[in-house]
Amino acid sequence: MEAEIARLTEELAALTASSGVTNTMFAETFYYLTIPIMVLIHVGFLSYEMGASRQKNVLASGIKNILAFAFLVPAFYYAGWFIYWAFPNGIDMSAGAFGISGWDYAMGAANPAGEVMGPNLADNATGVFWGAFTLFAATTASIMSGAVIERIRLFAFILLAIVLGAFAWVFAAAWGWHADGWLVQKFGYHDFGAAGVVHMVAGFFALGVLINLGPRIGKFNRDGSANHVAGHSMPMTLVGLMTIIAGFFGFLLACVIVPGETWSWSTTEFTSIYGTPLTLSALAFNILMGFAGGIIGAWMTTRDPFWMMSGALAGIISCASGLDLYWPPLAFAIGFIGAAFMPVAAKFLERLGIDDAVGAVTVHGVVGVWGVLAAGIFAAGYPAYQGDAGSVATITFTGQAVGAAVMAACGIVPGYLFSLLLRMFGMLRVPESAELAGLDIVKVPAVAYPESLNGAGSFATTSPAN
Amino acid sequence: MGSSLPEASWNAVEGAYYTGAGGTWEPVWLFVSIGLCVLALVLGIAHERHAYRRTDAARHD
Repeated sequence: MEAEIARLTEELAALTASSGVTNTMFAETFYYLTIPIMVLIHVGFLSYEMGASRQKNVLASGIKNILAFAFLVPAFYYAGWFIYWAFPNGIDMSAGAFGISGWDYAMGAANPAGEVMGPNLADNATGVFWGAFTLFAATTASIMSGAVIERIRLFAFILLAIVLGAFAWVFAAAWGWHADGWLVQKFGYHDFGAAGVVHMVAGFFALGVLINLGPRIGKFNRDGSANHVAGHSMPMTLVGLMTIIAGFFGFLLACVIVPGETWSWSTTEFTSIYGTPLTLSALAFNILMGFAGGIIGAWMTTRDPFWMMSGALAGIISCASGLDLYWPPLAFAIGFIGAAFMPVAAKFLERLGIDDAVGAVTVHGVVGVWGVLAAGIFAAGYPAYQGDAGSVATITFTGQAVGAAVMAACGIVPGYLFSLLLRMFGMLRVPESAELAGLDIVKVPAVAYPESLNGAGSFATTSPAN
Repeated sequence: MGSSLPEASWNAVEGAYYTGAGGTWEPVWLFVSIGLCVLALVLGIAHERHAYRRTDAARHD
C-alpha cells in the first residue's frame, strides 16, 4: 500500500511538473504569436499610408512608416519597457498597491543592461511581453505617421515617433493600463483594449504635431475652404485598413493575461491586464460586433469606402475600453455611433485648418474619447481590478472622464511642444520646392512605378493625382 | 565576449546564457547600439539636407 502511495505521489509530481511546463510553453507561445499578428497592423499602415499618398510621395511615405517601426524597437528596449514598470504609481517611481511597479521592480524586470532583457532559460515571459508591448508602441507611431504624410521631414518624424512610442504613451499606459496605475487605483479607470492609452494618446499627439506642421500645399484655399487631396490608390488604402483590422485581433489578444504562471492573476482563467476575469469568447463577440457596427455606421453617414473601412477601425476603438464587458449588441451600437460621428469630427477639424491626411486624429483621438467614456456610461459599477468588495475602485463615468483628459494631455502636450521645438529650428517641414516636386524624386533612390508616365514627379504646383 | 557558459556543456545552464552574460559588456553593447541609432539619424539628417539643397538648386537653374 505504502509503495503504491509513493508511486502515485511520484507520478503526480511528474504530471504536475509536466503540466507546468506545458502551461509555460503555452503562455510563451501565446504572446510570441501575438507579435507577428500585430506586425499585420504595420503591414496595413504601410499599405494604407502609401495608398493615401500621391504618386510622387508613395515611397517616401513607405520609408517613414518602416523607420517608425524600426526605431521604435530599440527605443522601447532602451526606455519604454522600463518606464512602464517604474512609473505606474506616479513620477516618484514608488511601488504601487500590488507591488509590481516602482524603481526597484523595474530594475529587476526591465533593466536594459540587465540579464532579464536577454536570452535566459529561467525567464520565458519577459521577452515575449516586451515584444508585444513594442508592437503596441510601434502602433502609436504608425497612427501618427499617416496624419503627417507628404510634408514632414524624415528626421523630425523619427524623433517624434520615438517621443510618442517610447515615452508619451508609455507613461499613459503605466498610469492607466497597469494594475498599480494611479488612474486605475484611484479612479477605477478601465481601458481593456487601449482606446485611451494607445489610440487617444497617439491621435492627440498627432493633433499637436499637425498644429505646428501645417497643411499640405493645395489643401486649403485662400478663403479657408478645403480641397480633397486624393491619394494615388484607394484600393491599396482599403486593403491596408482591412489588414490593420486583422492585426488588431493580435493586439487585443496581447491585452489578455494567460493563467497559471507565477506572474498570472489567476490559475484557472484568462484575465485583463487589471486582473479582472474574461474569456476570449467575450473578445470574439465584441470585436466583431464593434467592427460591423463601425462599418455600417460609417456607410450610413458617408457612403465612402475610405470612411467605411476607417469606420471598422473606429467601431473597434469605440468598444475597446469595455470589450471584455459589453453585451455584443451594445458593442455593435457603440461602434455604430462612434463611426457614424467620425466624419462629422473630421469635417470639424478641417474647418479649423487642420490637414489630417488620413483621419488619424478623428479615428484614433476623437473616437478614442468616445471609447473611454462609453465604458463609464455602459460599464459603470464593475470593479476595476482584483480585490474584495468595498476595497476596490469601480468603473465610473467620472473616472473615465478623468482618464480621457489625462490621455489627451499625454498626447497633445508632448506632440505640440516637441514639434514646436523642431519647427523653431527649421527641422519640422520639408522645403516648399521638395514638397512640390514630390519627396520620392527628391530623396528616394528608387521609383515606385517605373513604367508609369507620371511616376517621376515634377515641379508642378498640383500633382497628377490631384 | 563569446560563450558565457562555465564549461563547454549545456548541462548546467539554468539562467542567462547569452554572449557575455554575467560580465561587464552588457552596458557597453547597449551604448554601442544606441550610438549606431544616433549615427544613422545624423547621416539621415545630412542626406535629407543635401537632397533638399539639390532640389532647390535644380529649381532655380
